[in-house]
Amino acid sequence: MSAELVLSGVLFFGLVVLLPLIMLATAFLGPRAQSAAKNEPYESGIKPMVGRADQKFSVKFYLLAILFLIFDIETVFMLPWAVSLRELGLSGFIEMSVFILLLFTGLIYVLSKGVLNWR
Amino acid sequence: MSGTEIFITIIRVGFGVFVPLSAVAVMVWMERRGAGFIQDRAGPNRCNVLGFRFGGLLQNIADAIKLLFKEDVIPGHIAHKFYFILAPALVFITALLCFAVIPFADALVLGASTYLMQAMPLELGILWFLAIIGFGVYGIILAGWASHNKYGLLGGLRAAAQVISYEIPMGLALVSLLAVYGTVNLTEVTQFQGRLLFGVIPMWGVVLQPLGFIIFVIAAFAETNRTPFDLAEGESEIVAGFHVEYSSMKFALFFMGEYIAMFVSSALIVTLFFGGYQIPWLNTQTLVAHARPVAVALMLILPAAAYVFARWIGFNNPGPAPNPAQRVRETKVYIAVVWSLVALIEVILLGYIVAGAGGAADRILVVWLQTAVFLLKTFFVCFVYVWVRWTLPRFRYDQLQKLGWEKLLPLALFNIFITGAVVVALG
Amino acid sequence: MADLLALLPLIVTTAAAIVVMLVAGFSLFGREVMALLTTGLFMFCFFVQAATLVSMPFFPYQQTFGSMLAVSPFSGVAGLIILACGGFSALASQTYFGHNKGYVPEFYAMLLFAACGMLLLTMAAELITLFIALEIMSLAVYVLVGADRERLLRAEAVLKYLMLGAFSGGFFVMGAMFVYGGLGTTSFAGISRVLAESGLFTSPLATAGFLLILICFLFKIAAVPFHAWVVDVYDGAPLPVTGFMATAVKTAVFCALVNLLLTDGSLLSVWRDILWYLCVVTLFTGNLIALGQTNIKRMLAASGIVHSGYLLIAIISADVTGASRTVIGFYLAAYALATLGIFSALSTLSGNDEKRISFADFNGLAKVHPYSAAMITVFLLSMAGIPPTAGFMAKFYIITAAFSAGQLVLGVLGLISTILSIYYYVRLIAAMYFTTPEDDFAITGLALAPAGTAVLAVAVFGFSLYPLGW
Repeated sequence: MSAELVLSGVLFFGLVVLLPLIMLATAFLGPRAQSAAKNEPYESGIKPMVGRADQKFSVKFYLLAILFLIFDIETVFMLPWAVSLRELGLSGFIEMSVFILLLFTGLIYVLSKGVLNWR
Repeated sequence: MSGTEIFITIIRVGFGVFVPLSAVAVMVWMERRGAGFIQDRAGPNRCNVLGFRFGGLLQNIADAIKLLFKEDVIPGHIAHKFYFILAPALVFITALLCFAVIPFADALVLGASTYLMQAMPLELGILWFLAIIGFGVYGIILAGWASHNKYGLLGGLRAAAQVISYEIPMGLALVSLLAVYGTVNLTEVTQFQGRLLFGVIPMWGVVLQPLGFIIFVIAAFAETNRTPFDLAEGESEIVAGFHVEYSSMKFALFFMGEYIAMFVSSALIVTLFFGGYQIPWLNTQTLVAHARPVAVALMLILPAAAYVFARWIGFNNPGPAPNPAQRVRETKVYIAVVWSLVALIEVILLGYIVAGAGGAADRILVVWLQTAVFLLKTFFVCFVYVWVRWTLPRFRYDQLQKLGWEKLLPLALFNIFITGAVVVALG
Repeated sequence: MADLLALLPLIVTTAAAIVVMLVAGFSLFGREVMALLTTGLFMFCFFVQAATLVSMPFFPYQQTFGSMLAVSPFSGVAGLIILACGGFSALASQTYFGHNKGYVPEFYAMLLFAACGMLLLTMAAELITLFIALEIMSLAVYVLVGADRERLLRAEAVLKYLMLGAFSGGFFVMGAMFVYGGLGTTSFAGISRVLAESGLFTSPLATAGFLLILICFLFKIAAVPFHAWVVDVYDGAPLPVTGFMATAVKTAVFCALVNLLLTDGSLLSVWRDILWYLCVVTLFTGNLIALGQTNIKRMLAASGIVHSGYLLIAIISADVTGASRTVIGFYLAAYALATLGIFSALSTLSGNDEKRISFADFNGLAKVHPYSAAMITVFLLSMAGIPPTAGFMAKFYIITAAFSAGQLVLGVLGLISTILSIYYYVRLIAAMYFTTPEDDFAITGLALAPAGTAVLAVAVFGFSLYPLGW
């Protein structure tokens, strides 16, 4: 860890993290006026009538999250493979092809079960 | 640490932080003028100081001041105020952090030491980008959840599902790209693109990986929640999505975060696919070796460009509203400013040719040139974002997911397969 | 190349599993065809495994994939048992789902995936490989147990199994980590070598690690301090799955345990005392639980604990030579035959929604279905260890091995346990033969399970004649 890196890191992170603090300034600069309408969920001027924000939502989102986990891990495995592909040569290529094929079969299965049919 | 090192570090960090921030203003302007152009109307053209409108740029300043002085509303129904305030900061910070590893010029060699021209001299490159961009979704989903609003929650969920879905084609497109480049370090990636294919075509990523480029661009659009993938804030469906409850500067942070993310992904697209800071056929070594002719060429090109620009302003800026005489006067001032800027640069270049040519000055000239080229390319890609936004309609949500999982993902895997085969076959 | 050849049965099984999964995903075939297809695939894998086993003397299979997998005759035989179990379970499930709800086409894919995990488990020669195999197997079995989400009993079973199984998996990983920290290796051969040089208790880290690994194994084989799940889970699972779990899972895990303990025996010599006590407790607790059951599935589950106890006797009295592995393999095969037989008979006879499942439900079966009753009797006698069945020979070999290894007390306790166990096996036989029928025992569905049952009944006798080399 060079001193150069430490200095840039401190400067960069410091600036980036401090910049959003501007938003605190509006608390002093802006006007303040409370009213009942400001204290309820904004729904384009209509009083909230149907449903609540803390209700259940579709299970499809969880399915997507699980799919994401599987394929993101695949990507993570493939990144170092890709960088060193020239050293790994043919055997590395074949191994990764088998891996891709297996996951691709999984994807076909998932699609065949209609995970993406949002109805 | 020597003084030079500290100086260069500060310059780099300043570039890394303030260029994306200033780019926000330029891009908002670009978006408004672009929208006006594509929809055949004028765009923002009234806001002025003493009659100077700067082509509409002043509108952004006015907006920023307005947002800063607005009331900071935290509605009473919000139970988790900390997360509510944290969310916009998170979106802003992650967007800006991504820029840290993108090189805006080739490594600067001064004497014995080499300085990587990126905000933080990390060699993680693309891995840093992948790691940080994954954090971006936290801000959005936190905003949606902490708003405690149906529309906010829906927007947050949609955004999260969309971002994670498109992160996979994006990652896989990167995998095939890394197989070609053989490195994750973005400076090395760009240096690779300085070479020539068959001695003629620049070895840009878009030439080597056309399919990967298409996948990556589509995924980048989705990752930044831009049209045609802006379902997270689809106005006609869920009001404003995850930032429906936000006002004043907190809203501005979301807004800026979105534009910074757009700028950063444009910069990344440029770095990965369009040769980054490389000027086609003129890589860093060539430029440094022929610094003096390059400077002369610049001295010739600049007045020509300024002439065209001045003619353009002179033709377009005068108009009827609100006051024809004022607009003629404004035009004259602009043209004078442009020519005096050109004169200044010419003097500097002349001074360089006469006095400073050779050694470190050559390299610094090349850094300036490359930075300019990099910004030019990046703003062009930003314009493509704007162009697409005002051209394409929004997707339906299931179409969006189907595009990601059923088309882009298999395509990306296929691309990796082909790329891997070619890379292994070529050695 | 030898690597891939050694792995051929596993590759074939995996390919079969993927094919079945895709077929299930697109709903290409109906229930009957799926069962036949899966049975056929299991038979094919069985022959591939058999071919590998036969060709074993001609190929250097011992250490493949950088010593991460080891193929031995013992693992080959265990693989044969596992694949046979899969095939018979598929047959039984065909009839079972004819009169039970909760069929999903993925059932068969999961059966094959579980078999993949088990085959890998039998070959694992290293702790991390072992863990991966264990998880492949367990995940598939969890799904098999709980695929029918409509029934509360299934939900309860899968929840218990999943939670506890996940915990035991966690124990295993933790243990493997400690062992690696303590000994600097995860391969069985390496562990044995280090232990032979230094002895276990020189490294407290490794001691803790082995304890955690032991806990995981004891959980998976349902030995006593970790047996509580087994009765409820076996009761809650569908009958063919219960049969599959009782036989194939047990075979695979015991094979892995034997591979770990008997690599050169130094780990066994450390564990022998602990295992001795655990074994005795397992035998008698299992019997005690089984004595009190009125439900056949629960009784069989409890008797499964007892059978784990017998297998532990074999492990404790083992020496490093191959003979003790032969004994264990024989016992596993004999137990698998009888258990699969009784579960496939039950799959046929239990009727809609497993309505006939307690001892009383089978009153007078012999008057209505004399052949079915006779076959169930054969299986029960084999499990009890009555000559001339395979179960008798298996127990005979184990007790003999215990005596010849000097474990006299253990042998005698094993005999006492056998005598105790006869009570609950014979209870069902008595119910079938010496009471009058109240039920009409109507059977619906295609007769694949009865065919499998008949084959197994013959095999129970046939296998007892298999000459074990003395």
